[in-house]
Order: sequence, then structure tokens, then C-alpha cells
Amino acid sequence: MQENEIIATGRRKTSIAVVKLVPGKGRVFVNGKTLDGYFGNLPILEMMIYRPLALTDNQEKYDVKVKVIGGGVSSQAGAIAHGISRALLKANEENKNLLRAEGLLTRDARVKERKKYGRKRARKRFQFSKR
Amino acid sequence: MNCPNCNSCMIMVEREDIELDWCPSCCGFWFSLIELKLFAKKFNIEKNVLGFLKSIDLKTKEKKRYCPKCLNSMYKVNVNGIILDKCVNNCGLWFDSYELSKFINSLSCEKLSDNRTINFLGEFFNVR
Repeated sequence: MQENEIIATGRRKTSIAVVKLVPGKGRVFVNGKTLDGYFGNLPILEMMIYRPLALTDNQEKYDVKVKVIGGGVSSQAGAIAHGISRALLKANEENKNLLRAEGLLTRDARVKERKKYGRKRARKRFQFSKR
Repeated sequence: MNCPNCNSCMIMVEREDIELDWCPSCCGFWFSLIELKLFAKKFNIEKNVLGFLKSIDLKTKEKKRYCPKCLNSMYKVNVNGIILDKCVNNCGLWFDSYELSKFINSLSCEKLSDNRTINFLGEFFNVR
């Protein structure tokens, strides 16, 4: 581990992101790919990832290297944002109020509810037919 | 997620970047496979912990339990002399409250490079 490296873990649904912040030019690499290469044509997910960096004015101070596993693209983006927020908090305690106010430090505990037998989905019932 | 032992709702707890599901009524805890791998990697105990994932089902008198994640039945596996429940699909491991203290003792008996693992588990659940 390098001296200036900050490591934090973020989670969302079933995704886990291990985030490394190193001083740099603001580049983001996810599993060895650039953000565009990894999330493709989904700018809203990119916005989600850049939000903690933009909020704390650190967009061009750090390079972000992420290893993310599990889940789908949306939950992976959420996990990365959560991880970056935690890493920024480790880097500077003064970021806490800003990040906390936006809810970026809170672990979202909601996960997909399982399907139940006798129902169409987790809650949805089968169509009722009188005769 | 519901507890495989008493079926009450489990709570997510996190410490040192490891997240576990803990049952407040029976004090057992669920270690998902991803978290187990992170845990083993963090504390350099991959050989000690991950070896038993390939182990086979033991025949014991213990009650059969069901995985809280995929709801399939769980195998009984022997880890350092302790019988734990492991999901058939390798979703994770279930530790009963009394199994945890035994597990910590078994780890402390082995020659580990440092005591961080034992301290982590002990502090997490106030078990020594």
C-alpha cells in the first residue's frame, strides 16, 4: 500500500466496492476499465459516482481505482459512490457534514424482497377470477 | 433477511469494513461468502477459512437449517472441530452464538501470524 493511498469499502444491495483514492487528476477506473468503458451509455450512473467528489470539491485532486463485485450496474454505481464518500471522509473529517447531509455516508439497507409461493412476485397476488 | 435458527429479522452490523447479519434474539450470525472472502483476505487467513468450502455434508443429530438467502437446505461442515452450517450454493456460513466462542478458541489455538482476527471477532461480539 502506498503512503498517500486511502482505501474504503462501500456497499449497496449485493454489491461491494473497494475504493482506492490516490492523488491524481480525477480519473476513475472501475475493474481496470474507464468509467465510460465500464458503465457504457449510462451517464446517470457516472453522475452518481462523481457526486461525492464534486460535492467536496475533490474532483481533480484524486484518481479513483475501484474493484467492484456482485449486483447489477445500478447497485455497483451506488456501492462505488458509498465507497468514495467513506474514503473522502477518511481523507478529511471536515467533509463529514457535507456528505452526511446528502445521505452519502448512509448504508442503504434495502435489498430485493424474495418471491413468495402462491404469489406472482414478492407482494403481487395472482389475478382473482370469480368463476 | 430472517434468522435460519429462530426466524426473527436479522440486523446488519459493520466493523472494520466487514458486514455481517446478526440475530438479536439468538445471537447467531450469518457470514456471506463475499464477506467471508473479504474477511479472510484482510486478516491473511485464506487457508484457514476458505479451505472448508469444498467440504462435504456431515451426518449429525443437529436440526437441519435453511439458507436465509436462497432458502436451500444447508450442509453441516466440520471446521476445526466445530460443526457449522454452510449453504449448498455457497451463499455463506451460519454461526450459532456458542459456536462463535469455540471458533475463536480454535483460531487462537492455531499458529496465526497475528491476533487481529481473534480480536476482531471477540470485540465484535463481546466474546473472549
